[in-house]
Amino acid sequence: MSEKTDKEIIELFISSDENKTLALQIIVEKYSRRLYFSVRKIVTSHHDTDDILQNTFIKIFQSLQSFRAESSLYTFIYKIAVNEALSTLRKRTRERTHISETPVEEFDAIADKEALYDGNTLERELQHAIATLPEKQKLVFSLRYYDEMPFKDMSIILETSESALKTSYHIARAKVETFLKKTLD
Amino acid sequence: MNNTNSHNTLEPHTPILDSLTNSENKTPNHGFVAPQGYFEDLSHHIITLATQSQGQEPDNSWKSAIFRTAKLAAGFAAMVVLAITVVKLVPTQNIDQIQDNSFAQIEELELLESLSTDDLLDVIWSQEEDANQQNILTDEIDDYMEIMGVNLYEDDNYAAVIEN
Repeated sequence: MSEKTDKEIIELFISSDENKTLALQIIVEKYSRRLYFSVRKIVTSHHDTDDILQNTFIKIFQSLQSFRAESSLYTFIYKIAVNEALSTLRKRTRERTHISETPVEEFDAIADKEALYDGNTLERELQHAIATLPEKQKLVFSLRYYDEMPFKDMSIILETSESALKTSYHIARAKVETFLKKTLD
Repeated sequence: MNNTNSHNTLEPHTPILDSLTNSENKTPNHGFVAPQGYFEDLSHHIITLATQSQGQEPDNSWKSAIFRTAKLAAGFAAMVVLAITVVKLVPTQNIDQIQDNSFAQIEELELLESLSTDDLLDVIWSQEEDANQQNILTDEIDDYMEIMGVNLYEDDNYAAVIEN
């Protein structure tokens, strides 16, 4: 059976109450893998990513009825997930100040504890560099560098102007480069 | 490229990231691994949660409505206090730094007049997100660039870094 288009999924969702969960199941199966790795690259922890995905898909289930197709379904899903990820990052930043853990130490602690990170040395250093960025720059960097998201789409998701996003990305990228140069030299 | 002053964060990029991006040794999903069978379990779990939530009636009691209104009012009041604080603090603390760096000729009055609610929220966001002074400065430069319509990329020093 061919994969349903977003339009077909939404039509299925609004067709009847019985079909709502079926439509949600199709959305989860179609997008969860892609969303999982996008969110993991932002929050690092599998446990946090799992919470974010669950919250995201339940919120989609509760709000899809009002989806107006002004953006793609994935952009709609992504926007909810990114906001959830941002909340998680902020919560973690607040907690970090209490336990005096640096972002780099925090990344290693999460990656090693969960044993669900298998990056090579260079990739781990890149993660260390990303971990040191402020939340907004971290988000912008991850969305652009890993997901190659156009600034136009990012602008919709983060509700920020394209020029500010380009600046944030440029600054984040320069910081990452500087970090890597220092670490690898 | 060995410049280590505060402008270092605005240098054109070097090839380290590009070589990493194009590396043949790159790990799938950049090293992030999901547990075995996770996506199948996730699908079942979400359908269970969704089915449960479908049976729940929305809470429309008058007590909840009052509580929601009170929460909104408290949130709005907190936002106003925060915004006033930012208006008072941000220009006096950072205009000098921005002028020192010759990024733009921003008059304090112009800046105050140009701050919309969205701009203030953006500044607040930047203020909250980083305790590091360098990062605060660069984030504020982002905001001021947006507010004032200034484009650093037009400066010769940064011309090489324009993104498409």
